[in-house]
Amino acid sequence: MLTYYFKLAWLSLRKTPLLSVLMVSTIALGIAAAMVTYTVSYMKTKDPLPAKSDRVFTVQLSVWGPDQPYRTADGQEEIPEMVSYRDAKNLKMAGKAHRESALGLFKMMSRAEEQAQRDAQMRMIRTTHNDFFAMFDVPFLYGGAWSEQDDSAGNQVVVITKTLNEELFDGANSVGRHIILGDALMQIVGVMDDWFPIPKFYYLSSHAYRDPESIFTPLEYQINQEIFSRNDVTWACWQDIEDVAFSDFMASDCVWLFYWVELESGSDRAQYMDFINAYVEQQKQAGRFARENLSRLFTIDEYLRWAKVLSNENDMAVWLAFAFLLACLLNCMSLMMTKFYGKGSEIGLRRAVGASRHDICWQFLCEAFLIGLFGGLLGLLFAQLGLQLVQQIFTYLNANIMQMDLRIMLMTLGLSIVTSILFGLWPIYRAAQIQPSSQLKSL
Amino acid sequence: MKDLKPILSTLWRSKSAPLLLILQIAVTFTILVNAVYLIIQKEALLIEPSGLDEEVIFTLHTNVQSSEAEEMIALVKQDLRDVRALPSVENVTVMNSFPLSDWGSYAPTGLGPTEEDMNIYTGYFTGDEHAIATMGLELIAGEGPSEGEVQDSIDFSADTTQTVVSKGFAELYYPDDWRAILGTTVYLNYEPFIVKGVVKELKSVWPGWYSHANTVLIPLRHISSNYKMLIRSRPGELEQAKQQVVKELMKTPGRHLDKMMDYQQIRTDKFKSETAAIKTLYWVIAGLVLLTLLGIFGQARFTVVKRRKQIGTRRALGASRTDILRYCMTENAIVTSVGIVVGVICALLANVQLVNHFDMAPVPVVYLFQVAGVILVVGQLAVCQPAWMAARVSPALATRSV
Repeated sequence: MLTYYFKLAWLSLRKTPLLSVLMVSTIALGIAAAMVTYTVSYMKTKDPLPAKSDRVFTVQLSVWGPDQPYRTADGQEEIPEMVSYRDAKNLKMAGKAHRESALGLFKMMSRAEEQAQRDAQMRMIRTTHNDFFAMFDVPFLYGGAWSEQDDSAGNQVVVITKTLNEELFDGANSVGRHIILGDALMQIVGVMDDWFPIPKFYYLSSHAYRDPESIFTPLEYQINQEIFSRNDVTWACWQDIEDVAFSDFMASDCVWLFYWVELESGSDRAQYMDFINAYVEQQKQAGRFARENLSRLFTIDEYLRWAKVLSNENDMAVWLAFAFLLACLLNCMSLMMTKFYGKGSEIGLRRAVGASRHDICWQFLCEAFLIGLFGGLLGLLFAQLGLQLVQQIFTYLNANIMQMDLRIMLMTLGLSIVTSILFGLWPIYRAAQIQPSSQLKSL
Repeated sequence: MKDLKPILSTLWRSKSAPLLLILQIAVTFTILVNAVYLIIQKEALLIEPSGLDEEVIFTLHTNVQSSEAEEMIALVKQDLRDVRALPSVENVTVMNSFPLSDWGSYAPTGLGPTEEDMNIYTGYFTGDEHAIATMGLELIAGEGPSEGEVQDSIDFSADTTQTVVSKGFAELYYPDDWRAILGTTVYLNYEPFIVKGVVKELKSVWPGWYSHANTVLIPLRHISSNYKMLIRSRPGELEQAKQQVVKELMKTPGRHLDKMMDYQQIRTDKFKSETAAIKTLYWVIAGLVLLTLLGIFGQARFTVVKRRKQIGTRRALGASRTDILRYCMTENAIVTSVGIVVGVICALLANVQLVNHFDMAPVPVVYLFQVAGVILVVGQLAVCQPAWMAARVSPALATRSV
């Protein structure tokens, strides 16, 4: 019987092509708008490292001086999200975590060894420990991370991204070749495969939607070479830094590094926090960490929420889009009303020859289902176009954000069908109310 | 007006179709009001003046090829002299960061040195004695630093004791008479500074920051292994100035230039997310208006088709075409108006939510009227064709098939 109803619904849609096209495209428009904004918002806020969401943490220490808090927000003292080199070094030496890395940044002219000096470009260089790559599941195209030995010696090695490898070496296996950072010859040990964590959680919130830096090198290399781009990276000090000596800066409480740890399991969190507290206590004995100990661990999700990476703007767009969908559905509902009213005589006839109200309802439900299905399919198409358009407008956002996965596609279809039927219920109810006698008279 | 009673009773007798339209218009109205309001707020942010003469200014970063403090200072001063001597350059200064550029410093600020006194963060700029003239800031009280008062700072170390502040800053502490701040001491980063001058406008590096209008300009030549130059060209000679500056600076071997940007570029970059949001909102508005147009049009046509016989009867009984036309237009105006009234309530409710969740100011009432006007006009436009169709129904129709 259902097949028959679908056939009837199909015929009925064909009979009033203009009205059907209007209904389907109205739904498609609303669905597309809603799903485009939902996709962007979902992709922007999804977990960038789902496999380790409960056991990768960033460490924040109460390192500030006695006179004043680092910052206050809403009357509450805030501690810096970054740590000093001194503390990073101590934590790394203690080695209490499964994997751990400090993350710094500097700016330097860089080029391939084969390039002329005038082709050099200013690039941001990420400095870190070798654990970075394993901790964040960074995929490699060629080679791999540098060794422990490179880390401790601060050797002149780099890992570069696939994009940079294509730019400088035409995508060939460049492991063993060299790039020049400033004046230093750096050996390439690894080329990363595509890796675009969204949001880019591991550094400052203002970098959250930028691509990862293209060159990675050991933190100790930066320290050995005494490189620090004070004018280009974010850092903060509570002491006056009268003295410009690099070693003094590194020995100070000035914060400029992020510190990330991976534990064996999420349940080790309390144990690691105990270690941090013990460390703070020990430093207090030594006359540092003068303030109340507010040190803490943040998971990626906690950090992103705290840093307000998950912005309001996004939610607002989603609300607007769903309100837009509502307007579209109401419009479609009144079109259905029109349509079913126009079929008054047909309903009367069907009822007169024995169809129950139930049958009429089923028939129109099938029609609403078809409208929703076609609306959803067309909506998917519109949404793809919409995402292209969004990509044109939001050029500064990573293009990987603007992609639907299978789950979202199925959701789109589902949403379209469910809402069409839901908003079809009243028109269907009205149609089923039609009395056979009132219609048959005028035939 | 004599149509009013029959229209109301007709609408009352078949409620469902007009009710849907009313709902649709209400939702549309809610979205439109809030979208328009968002656009206006964001556009205001886009054109908000920074205080700088942006059309003649560009910036760049360059390196200093020395690590000895004395030599670094001498090299930078030489660079500045060379650049200032260029024919298309009017003035040049060295700063720690540039307004709107997204990277800069801030300082806890207060009228006393203790933690309790530090009640706000302010934008912190440093510049030499040419900074005010180069940026084109309008000095409205006091004076800027003289050459002798500017200190050299390698990596932020120096002890300056005076500052120029923005009017916004002055009004923070002296809301009744901002001039009173001249000569007083303010504390930045717990250090005392005497206020020597007030400029009309100098915005921070972060638009949208709560303290965006409150800034200080400290007389410091801020230098490290590389430094930031802000250059003012002679009027209309921005491009020549850029070329000449590059040529001049690149005479030094080993020179790196980075982030050479004119202010239009800095502004565009800084506001790209707002610009994108505005574009999206315009799309939303266009889509909604189109949708409403179609909705009203479809509804009106349907009503006309449904009522052909009644219309024919009215015509046969002596109603003129104008009467029918007026009847349709009035009916639509009533339905739209009811939709708008419901919409006003929804929009206000939605706005309360927006204000609570997204820290926005409430919508001014004038927008409600404007958007209501637009929807009414759109509604009348949409109903024109169906009304015309209705007016052309022949009276003879009434005599058939009865």
